[in-house]
Amino acid sequence: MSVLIQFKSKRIIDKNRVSIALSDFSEDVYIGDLLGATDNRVITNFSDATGKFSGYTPRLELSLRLNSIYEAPYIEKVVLHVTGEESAEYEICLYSGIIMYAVKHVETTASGRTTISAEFSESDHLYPGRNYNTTKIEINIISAANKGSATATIAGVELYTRALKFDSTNTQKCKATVEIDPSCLSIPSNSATFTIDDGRVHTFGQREPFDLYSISGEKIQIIGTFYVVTSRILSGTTYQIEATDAVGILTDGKLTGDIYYGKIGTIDLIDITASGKVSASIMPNLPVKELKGIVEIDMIRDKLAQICAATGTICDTTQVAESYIGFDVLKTSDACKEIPASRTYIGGSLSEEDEKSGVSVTYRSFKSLLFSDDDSEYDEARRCNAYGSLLAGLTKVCMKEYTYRLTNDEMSSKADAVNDLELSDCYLISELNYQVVAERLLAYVKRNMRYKVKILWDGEKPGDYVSVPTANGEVIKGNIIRMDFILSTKTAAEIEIMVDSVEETT
Amino acid sequence: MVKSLDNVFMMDNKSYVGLVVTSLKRGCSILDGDNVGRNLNGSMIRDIIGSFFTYEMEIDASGCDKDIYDNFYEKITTTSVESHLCRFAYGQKYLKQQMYVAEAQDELQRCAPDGNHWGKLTIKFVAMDPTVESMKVTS
Repeated sequence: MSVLIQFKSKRIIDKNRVSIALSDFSEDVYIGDLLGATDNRVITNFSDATGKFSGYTPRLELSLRLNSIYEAPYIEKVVLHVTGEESAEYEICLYSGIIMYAVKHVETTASGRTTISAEFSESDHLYPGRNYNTTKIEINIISAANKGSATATIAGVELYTRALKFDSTNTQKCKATVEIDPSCLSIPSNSATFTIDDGRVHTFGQREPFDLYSISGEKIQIIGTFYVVTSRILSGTTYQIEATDAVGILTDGKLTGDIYYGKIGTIDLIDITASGKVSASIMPNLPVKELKGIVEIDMIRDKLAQICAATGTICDTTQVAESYIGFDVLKTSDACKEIPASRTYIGGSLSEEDEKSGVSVTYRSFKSLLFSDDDSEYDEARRCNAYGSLLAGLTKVCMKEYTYRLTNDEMSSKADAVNDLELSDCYLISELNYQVVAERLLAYVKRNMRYKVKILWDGEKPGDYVSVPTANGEVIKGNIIRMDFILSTKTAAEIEIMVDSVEETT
Repeated sequence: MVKSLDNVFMMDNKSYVGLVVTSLKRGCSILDGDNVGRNLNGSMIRDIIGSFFTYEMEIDASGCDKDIYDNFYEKITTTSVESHLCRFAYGQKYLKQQMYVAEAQDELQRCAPDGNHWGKLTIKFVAMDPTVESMKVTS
């Protein structure tokens, strides 16, 4: 046995559908009593329900009380069925249609009241803002905790029916990829895919979190926390699950301007929930203290990438038993972990990335126009490219944009063209840290050798500084930047190392 | 020594009267998973999934009713099921597990007024799953 997948949410398995009446949905509405089950699998009902639709793009807010034994229901989607008459200025016609709402957030209070927030996801010719007469809502609910009998205990924590073990009679394909961007310019999301068939029927909710463990004898090690993205029924009780990590469920979005100017703060942890809600803990314990900016609580992927670029940190989503994104710097040779020959497979390969001619770092400077404009002259490496002005409150502020360039003096002569690694859109780069950032990027550019090798896994993770022997008697040292896990009865990983040194063994 | 079929072989909890096993070969493959290989010391890294047994047998149908034989042949060559619950002789016990038919071969030995007489049937069964102790039974 080598793999265990522990779903963090204590819920199973049965999917139920209920219907409730809705008198109107164009304004704040009263949702009537439960009409009744659409099939006899219904095991819960609602009362005291109200609902509200708002916005031109329908946004649905339901508030109701669940009269059942189930706690904290997991709700996948809300389906609004519309039948009746559509009233519009230019036509009146009978209409029927469906609006699908993707549930974004479900919250149940101690009093048992449940609030569901859902956003419009697709429509069948249904126009928001018009009036429809008769409607019905179907809510897909996955019931809450039903512990059953514990299947295993790890670190004193009992695991229940959703803990899926792989053993010699139930071997399934299971792979995971975890990686970092050693330049710290982006935050890659990690992934896990596996196929299960334990003879039972499951329902996997979207973004349902689980921990993926490797088991070797008595030794249990976590590979990472992942969130279900898609689940497919292949046949019978065989399921194929694709999942991503905490970074992967963050949304993409445009960076707002308020991150770059103001308070001083550094960030240590990003807590993240299955619904994608993010909160940040601001702590002054990162090595780079010059970060200048307002770090928002509701962060999105872009902003995390900005923080990584400014502070030289990588994201770590492999933390034990919690769902958060940690930040760390690349480990150095002081923390070198030796991978012995007995854990190293034959067949490593050394390759070279494209050479970069240097690095260019752009940063911005802001200055109140109450004072005279800056007439300083800059050397060639630190050029002033552009400037503009903006209003910050009632004060007109001058913004200047500079580009700072460092040349890669280790580049071979064959690459004459300018081929810089550019950091051009980082709001957290300022006069305080641009040189540190540029020098870090230059050090990254110079380390363009990569070594790929398969190892038996023993807790290594991306960012670790490792030494690994080669078949021709050398020892390669460097940072792991990517791991492709192959989970079988033993756990192995194909690792990619950003090489720091190649040494002859004595 | 010729044994009667139901002593050494049953399929889907049924024995076939008159079909006689004249030869039974047992094989075992210990299969590894994707992480099998050799390390830099030259040592083998095993990734053992389990032991998979195969049984290859020859059947003499000369004393068997043609309908029973034809029925048995249809059963082993059908594609409507992926595997059969087989019980084979295993040491002094039996091995009872799901196995699939990998190969079946026989000969038309005689065309007679009462019909075609087939014989010299050889069948190869391969285990669906690795063998565990609970599959080794006494009856």
